[in-house]
Amino acid sequence: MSAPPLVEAVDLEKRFPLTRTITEVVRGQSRRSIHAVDGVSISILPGETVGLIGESGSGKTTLGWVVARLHDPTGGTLKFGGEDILDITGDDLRHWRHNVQIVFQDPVGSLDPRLKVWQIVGEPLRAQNVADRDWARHAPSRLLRKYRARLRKRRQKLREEWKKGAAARRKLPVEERRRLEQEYQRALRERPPLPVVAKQPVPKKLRRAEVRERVRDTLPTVGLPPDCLDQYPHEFSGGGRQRLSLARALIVNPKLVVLDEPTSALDVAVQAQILNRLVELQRERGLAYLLITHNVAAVRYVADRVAVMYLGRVVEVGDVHGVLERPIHPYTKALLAAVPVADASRRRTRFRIGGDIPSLVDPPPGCRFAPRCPFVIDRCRAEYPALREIPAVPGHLVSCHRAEEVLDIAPSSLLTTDEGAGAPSTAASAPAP
Amino acid sequence: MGRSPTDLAIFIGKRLLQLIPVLLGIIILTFVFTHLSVANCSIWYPHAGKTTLALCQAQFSKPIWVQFWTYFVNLLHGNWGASVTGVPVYPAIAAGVPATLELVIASLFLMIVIGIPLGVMAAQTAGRWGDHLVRIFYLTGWATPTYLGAVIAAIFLAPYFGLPSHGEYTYTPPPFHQWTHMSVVDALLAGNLPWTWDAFKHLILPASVLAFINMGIATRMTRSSMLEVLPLDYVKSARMKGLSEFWVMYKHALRNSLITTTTVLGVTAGGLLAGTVVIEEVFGWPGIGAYAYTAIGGGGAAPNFDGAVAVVAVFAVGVVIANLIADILYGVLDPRVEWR
Repeated sequence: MSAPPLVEAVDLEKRFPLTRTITEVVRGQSRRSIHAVDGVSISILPGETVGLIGESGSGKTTLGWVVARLHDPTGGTLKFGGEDILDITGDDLRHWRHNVQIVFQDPVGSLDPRLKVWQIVGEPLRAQNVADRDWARHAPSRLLRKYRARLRKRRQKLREEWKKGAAARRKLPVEERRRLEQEYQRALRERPPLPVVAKQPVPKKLRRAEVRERVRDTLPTVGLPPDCLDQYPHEFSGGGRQRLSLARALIVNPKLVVLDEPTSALDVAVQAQILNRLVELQRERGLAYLLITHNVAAVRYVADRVAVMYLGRVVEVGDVHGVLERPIHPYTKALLAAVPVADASRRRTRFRIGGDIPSLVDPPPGCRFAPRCPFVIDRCRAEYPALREIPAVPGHLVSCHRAEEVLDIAPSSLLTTDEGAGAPSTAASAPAP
Repeated sequence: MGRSPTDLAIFIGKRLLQLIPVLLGIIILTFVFTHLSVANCSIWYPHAGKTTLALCQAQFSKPIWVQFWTYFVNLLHGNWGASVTGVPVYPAIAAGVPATLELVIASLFLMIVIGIPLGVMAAQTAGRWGDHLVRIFYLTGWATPTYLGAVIAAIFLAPYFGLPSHGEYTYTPPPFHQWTHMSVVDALLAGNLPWTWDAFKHLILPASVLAFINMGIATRMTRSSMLEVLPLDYVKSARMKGLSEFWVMYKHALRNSLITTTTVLGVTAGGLLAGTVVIEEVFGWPGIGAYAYTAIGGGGAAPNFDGAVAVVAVFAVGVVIANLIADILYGVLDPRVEWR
């Protein structure tokens, strides 16, 4: 745990504003918004797989897209490799893109049907090449821009300090005040030496043959034959297309790959193949994965740590075995209990936590899970429980006021068999508030 | 049943064979309707002399099937008939079709290079100002009656921009042989640059008016199909690759949404051939539209029945070929489409 995290998101927030209806405009109500991601803090270490699980609509895909800079977050900070990446925009962003790549859920929709394999897989190379060339060409102006921004910040700070010290200065003798004033003016005028801008070498333009060569080399790493360069994506099976997506993501050697439900559109045998491939690639290249899925088995198999999301918030984070074997948050318990098990004795069971995921439009304060939670108390409805470490289980973060009390309740107790319907369950044994 | 050049050739051959029954039907219908309407020659040709009237009576007093048979046999021999006064139809058509084609191609070009980017812009800014401005622009064009647009352009825009508003060249006939009867192409073939520039300036106004009036459909179709494509994952993955927004839009999104635009432009192009009648009349463009106008007795001319039939047949060929080109383009645009 000593390595600095690759991705560090703090209080990340993404809201999608809604258009106001006419009645709302007339009443002067403010614009409402969907809180897709609402104050999520998450970190990913280099070479680590973080699983992100939750129901549909819990904001896990949005979070993945924000981390990959497909969406701009509306709040919070996002660092990649220690650098704040939310400042990066425009051409710099295009240049940065090779760091993070996405594999999308839909193997059909994520490949342009008009392009051949070598064009699809090779396009990131070309695009990065173009972006790199632009980046090198504009290096001097970019450095100058940064220099000016730094200067501006420094002067701003000086001015603020000067204003703050006004009251203290008034007590000083006149000469002393004059001297300070002069010093302040000199400090304002002072500027650090201009950065020496060596002309950056502009990388060579990538040739078509080189792109084809690189694609030919990359295809076997995802288990595709290297001679399918001139085929179209519709000539591949679902698994083949997902491998193409993977190849497209990997060809620029990203540090992080966001896997957005990469196997949910595939049949089970192919799912296993793809997951195995992913694990092998991670071992070979030290990739970090953000695995977004609702397939708990896949997370158990691939992930090192897992975060559980509910209604735009992370409710539980921790080591994969800790979270999946001994879930603490009632929602995680419910989610895991809902996973179907091939066990005849547990068939015909029914999930006790009913209802749908509530609306994400301006959700009320308090715990998001409170309306469905069997262990709810008044405090849950009033105050949002912060994500905190439970002393009994180090390294395991939960956002639940009653975490210590519900610690030992088994997920299966949230299920009732049809025969035993109505019988008092173990849930009743939770200590009364 | 595939995508090789042979398949394309077979596809084109088949579609051209289908043209034969279409043409036959069109010719029979227009011939019968026009010639049945002639009951009394003196009503149709009030100013004709005795000899013309006699010729007319001789031609139209025969039973309709006899008239048609004579016309049809002549047509198969390459004789497109003549007006009652004996002016042959074929030379006029041969000169008029390329001139009209030039006008239509020029305005199609404008519709593509202006209309489609406007559609892309509207889709990018859907629901915001750019979208509304584009909509106002193309709806204005759409709502403008052709004659009004043409007259306004000829009267107000022509002097304002210093553009000529009549004919193909400032002086006729041009000092070179008109090989193709397309004004700009002929001047270029003759290597005569001043005349090329002159012909180009004459082309600007009629082509722009024709394009402005018909542009809406290309813009609208591009916008709506772009809106279908934009939320798809491959547009996002194009962005993830680090492509600039221009290439994301034009290489990935637009290329995949061009099918509907192509269909509509194919239909429009066929319609434009016939829709140039008013434009050609206003701008004095010596195309087939102007010929059609006089053939049906426009401007007080004596009606020319063989000419009318020939013009309708040519329009039909134009519509069929425009659609054929659109069908071929589907295969070019989309590798999944087979020519069959």
